[in-house]
Amino acid sequence: MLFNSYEFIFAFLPLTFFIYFYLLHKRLIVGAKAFLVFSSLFFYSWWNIAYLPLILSSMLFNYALGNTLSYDSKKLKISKKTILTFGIIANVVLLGYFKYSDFFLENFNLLFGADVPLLHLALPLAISFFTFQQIAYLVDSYRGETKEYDFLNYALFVTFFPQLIAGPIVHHKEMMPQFASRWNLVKRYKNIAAGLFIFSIGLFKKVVIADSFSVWVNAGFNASYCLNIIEAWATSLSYTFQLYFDFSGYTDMAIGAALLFNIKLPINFNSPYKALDIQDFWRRWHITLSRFLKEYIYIPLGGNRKGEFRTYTNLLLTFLIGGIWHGAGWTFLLWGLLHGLALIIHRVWHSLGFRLNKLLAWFITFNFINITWVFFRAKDFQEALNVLHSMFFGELVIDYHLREKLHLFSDDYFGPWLQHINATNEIFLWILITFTLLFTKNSIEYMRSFKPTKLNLLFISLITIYALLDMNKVSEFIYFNF
Amino acid sequence: MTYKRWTLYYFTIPLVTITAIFTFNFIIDPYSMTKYNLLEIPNKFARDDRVEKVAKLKSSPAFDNIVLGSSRVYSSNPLMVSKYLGGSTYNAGVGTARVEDDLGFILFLQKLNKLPKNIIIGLDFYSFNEELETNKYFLKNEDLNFLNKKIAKKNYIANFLSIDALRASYKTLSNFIKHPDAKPRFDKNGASQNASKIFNISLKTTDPDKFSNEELKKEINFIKTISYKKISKQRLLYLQKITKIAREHNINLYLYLTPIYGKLLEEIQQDQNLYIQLLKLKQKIRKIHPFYDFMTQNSITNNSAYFNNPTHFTSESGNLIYAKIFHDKNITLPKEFGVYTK
Repeated sequence: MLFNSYEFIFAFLPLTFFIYFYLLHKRLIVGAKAFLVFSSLFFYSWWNIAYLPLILSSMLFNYALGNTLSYDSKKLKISKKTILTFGIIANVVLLGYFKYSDFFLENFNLLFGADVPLLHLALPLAISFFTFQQIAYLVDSYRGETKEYDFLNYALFVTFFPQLIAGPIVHHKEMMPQFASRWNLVKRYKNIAAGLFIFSIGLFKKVVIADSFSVWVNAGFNASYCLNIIEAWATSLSYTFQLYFDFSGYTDMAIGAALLFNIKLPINFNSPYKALDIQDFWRRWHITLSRFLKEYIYIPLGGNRKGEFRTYTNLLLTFLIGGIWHGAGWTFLLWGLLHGLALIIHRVWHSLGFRLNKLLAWFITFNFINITWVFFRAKDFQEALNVLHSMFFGELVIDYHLREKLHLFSDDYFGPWLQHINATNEIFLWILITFTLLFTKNSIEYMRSFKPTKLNLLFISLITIYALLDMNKVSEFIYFNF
Repeated sequence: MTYKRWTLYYFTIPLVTITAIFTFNFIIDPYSMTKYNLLEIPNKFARDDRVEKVAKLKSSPAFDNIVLGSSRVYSSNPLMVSKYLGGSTYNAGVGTARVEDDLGFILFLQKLNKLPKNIIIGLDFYSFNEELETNKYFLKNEDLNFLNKKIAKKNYIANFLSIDALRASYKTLSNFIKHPDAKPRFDKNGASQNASKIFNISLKTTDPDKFSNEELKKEINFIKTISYKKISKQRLLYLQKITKIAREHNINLYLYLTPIYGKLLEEIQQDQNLYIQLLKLKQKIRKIHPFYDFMTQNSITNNSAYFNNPTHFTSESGNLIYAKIFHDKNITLPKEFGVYTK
């Protein structure tokens, strides 16, 4: 079920909310939590019920393993390290089987001239997210950092519908105490109002802004072979904005929906395109993924404690893993590699004591991110190179009306203006407005300072109405694919 | 203001507004989605050809002949088909149609038990390009979209609850107030209003070159920049499926490749890749079903007077196409105009 669907907004969310709090009102706490788990699984199964057994067995397996890891070592016949290794391998194999089998087979066939048939497995929804969350749980159980929680709270931690599909990637330490807390078992209008506030902003970001950009992005990448310079930049910028508004819109909706149930999800974005360097960007973009990569990959690899060379190697490895986590493809790997390299360059630059003018630093960072997103979006290298080639060496086309006004080349035909990306001049207005929006306060900052006023009531009501009326387009969230 | 009051108002304002918009759209019903026409508006302003034509096919008795194809086709006069084949004809041509649209209409008619006796389909060279995506309005149309029902389901509500619907309702209502006697965009036979009035099938003697260089160059440039690497196998399969349905239900199926302006065709013939794709397409269609090939050079396609723009023929040309397909003995047409290919 999509957050931006009528069935979610008008049926699932209100029904779940009212039944949950009704059960709590009747002091049926266990029943209310069980209902929330059931609702979350229903929400998950809405797409494809076939993968319900997968998430259930993954949950049971990890819970059992996590519990075993929290026992006293002396009582265990096998070492904790062996159990943890087994748990991590099992999770990674499960993820690898569904996500990377075809990628591996394709490359195997290419390398050895073999003809092993591809499996064409459909990627179970959210597998990348719930696998990461549960690996973190196992590692922390091994480290003795988990408390004993019952299965119901654990199931809620994994399946809680606002964060189930595309994060934020939550940590058991921040979630399970909230589910266990009795303070969260009553309706709180402060949370409800703030939740609705941020949910509406997220809905608008996704439905109105991201989906408007997606039309130009799809058309631009489909016609990558023939874009002129204006179209190519419009395409790449559109994707840069689409991805941000799509994913941060989703996260806002997730945070808002969770807040209705008094659950505070961690923030995932903090105006990432304001970043002045690449390290700053990764502190602001998909924060919960960065946190996971840092805590469970970069630091266990040695982090920055084993000399400069190891630090750079660890950084590169972490970003390669981050890249391939997003998708089984060489373009994702290259995207990860580029970001890893950029971080290394940044560290070297920083250690040498160099500083850049803020505006120049922002310009370089933003453009680096914009250019590398092209690899992230393109279906193959050729498509990415086509767009990049057009961005830098494409034909310069001048709008017909502008040409007429300037009396330039009036008899010459200069090719299509924005034809290949199905756009009109409005695209420039959208890009300009979006740039302006990026430099205002972000939605989370607004939510934090939220106070009920007539003005924000009117504003939020208007954007909700507009988003609801614009919701008829067919669009999934980009991060559902990862 | 308290949080509780804010929350209550937040629910009330959008709910009341959305309900009001829904009610307004339901009363005006710009896409003719319901059986009721509460204000008795004769000319519903639908922004989507597919929705309008599907609604018409639903509400009308079965037609004897159905014309399918893209915007090239809907300017042809369905009454000319009735003249040659007898019975009633509906022109179900829709903007930027691909073969999946044609199959979608046929499957939809089959479901309604309204399959016709004759089906005439105008096929476009461009629409077989593998890179060309399925039309988004087709995907949104739950009656036509046989590819992914889940995507289409959403749109029924959107016919009453969307910005497009609101605009269409407003435009319909203001049109109705200003011109209560205005006729709909498509007539009862699905053709554009002008097309239904044109019955002449004479040849033009003049040869005005009505397209500006700019217009022609734009089309030429577009043709040269489109990537036509492969003919879509999937669309050929859809065409096969159409012929299968026609065979199983004893429907006479007439296929033709729509004409484009001669100078444009010349550009395609000079582009090695495009020309190969065109020849391949003709071969592949021929293997599936015989067809009339109007994508040829001849005195009609070389005359710009027969075209509204370099890729869209006029209603007069539509009449000549039907005259050729249905062997009208009252007119002698150039041999190369509509070559029967089997």
